[in-house]
Amino acid sequence: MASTKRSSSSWSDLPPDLLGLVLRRLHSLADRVRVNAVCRPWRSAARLQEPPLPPPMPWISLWPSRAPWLALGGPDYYLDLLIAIEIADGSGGGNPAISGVKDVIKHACSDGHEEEESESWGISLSDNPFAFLTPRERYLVPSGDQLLMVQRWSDWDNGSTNRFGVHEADLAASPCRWTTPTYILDGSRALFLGRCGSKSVPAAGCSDSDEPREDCIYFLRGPVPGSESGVYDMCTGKLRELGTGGNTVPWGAWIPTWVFSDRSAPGSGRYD
Amino acid sequence: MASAGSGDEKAAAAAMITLISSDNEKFEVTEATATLSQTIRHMIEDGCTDGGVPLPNVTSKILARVIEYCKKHATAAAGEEGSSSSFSDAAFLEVDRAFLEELEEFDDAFLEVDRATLFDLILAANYLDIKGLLNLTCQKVADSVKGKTPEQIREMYNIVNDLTPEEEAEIRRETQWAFE
Repeated sequence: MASTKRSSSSWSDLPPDLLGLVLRRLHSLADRVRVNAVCRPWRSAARLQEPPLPPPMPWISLWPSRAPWLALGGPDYYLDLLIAIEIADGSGGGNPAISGVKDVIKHACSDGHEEEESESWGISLSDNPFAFLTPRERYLVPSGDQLLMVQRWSDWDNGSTNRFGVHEADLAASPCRWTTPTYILDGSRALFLGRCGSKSVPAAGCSDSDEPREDCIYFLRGPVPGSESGVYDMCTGKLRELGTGGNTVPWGAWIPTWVFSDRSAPGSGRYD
Repeated sequence: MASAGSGDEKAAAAAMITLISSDNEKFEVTEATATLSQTIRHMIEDGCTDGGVPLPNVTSKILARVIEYCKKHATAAAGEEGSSSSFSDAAFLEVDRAFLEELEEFDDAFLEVDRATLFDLILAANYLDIKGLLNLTCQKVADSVKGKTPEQIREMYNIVNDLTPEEEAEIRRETQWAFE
């Protein structure tokens, strides 16, 4: 110890803004909470972050596939009606509660009229006649002031995710309709898609060290067959793997679900 | 190396900057190296570098390391600019990749320092406003605490636990799950 005495520096004296740079690189709530419990200066520094830290990445929870947690609609392959349900989560002992039904959109062409579908969805199948893509699943996601419907397109041969199309509900139109695909989310946001529930959260930024990253779709799919996870960049159309901190997600007869803690780490922003 | 020809030499000779550490040691560096620091760049722009740039917050030991970092990254940046005209796109990409790999290796080796040095490097990178070095060092700290308990972090960084038993109990009550 005596030899290092020369350096008066103590890590507990790390200036709050510099500790913030470290905290911003910790994407897990558990890591932030533990750093926060190291010493008093670090604890108060975490609370002083301005702008607030981005919300931590959600956890992945695995639900037995036979016990669906929360239904957001009917079977997701051929939804005729899409209902926007506003969910108040985190209140009333953690039980999700429906606080209102916003509107109903009739999807005019869910019965397989391809021409109509390509028109109303703004997707030209003639762009690439060799890419046999099929819309496989749809997700409803409230995002800021928008209501989004995300459609997953998969490769015809192996069913793996090829891309996502994001459509906004145009509730002012008569009849209400879904807009043509959008590639940027209003505000700086990211989407988390899951069979048991989807959510839009504020994004941390757009650089490589930022998670969740702007205009990206984080998706979980299960159970087998076809379980899959990844991150889709709406702007570039690129897919990358979902980092799970070195943990292997035991895919199987589970429905993986995002879990957002309503107790975010000190100094962290909220999910909404 | 061969590409650093006569033109570069002339330019470099014309623009040397003297940096003076807190313990009064002088370091001669090229302007390209020095201007990786935004702080020094602004001083040069304001024309106040004659007679050397005093850096009262940085010891010679740390300044030597910082200059090592800046030299490497300035060389890489110059190499990329210089090579763009004489290579085809594909060759350029190849060179680009090689540079990036070499830089990554350099960065990894550069970060093999004790905790006290890492701390001083963060402060110096912040004071001198060298974005790349600040990112690098903060990422190193973040990676080192991932998955660690508060006790392990204190041990690693030689931090005294100054939380009162009451505060500790409060933290545990709020976030029991994180410590199990």
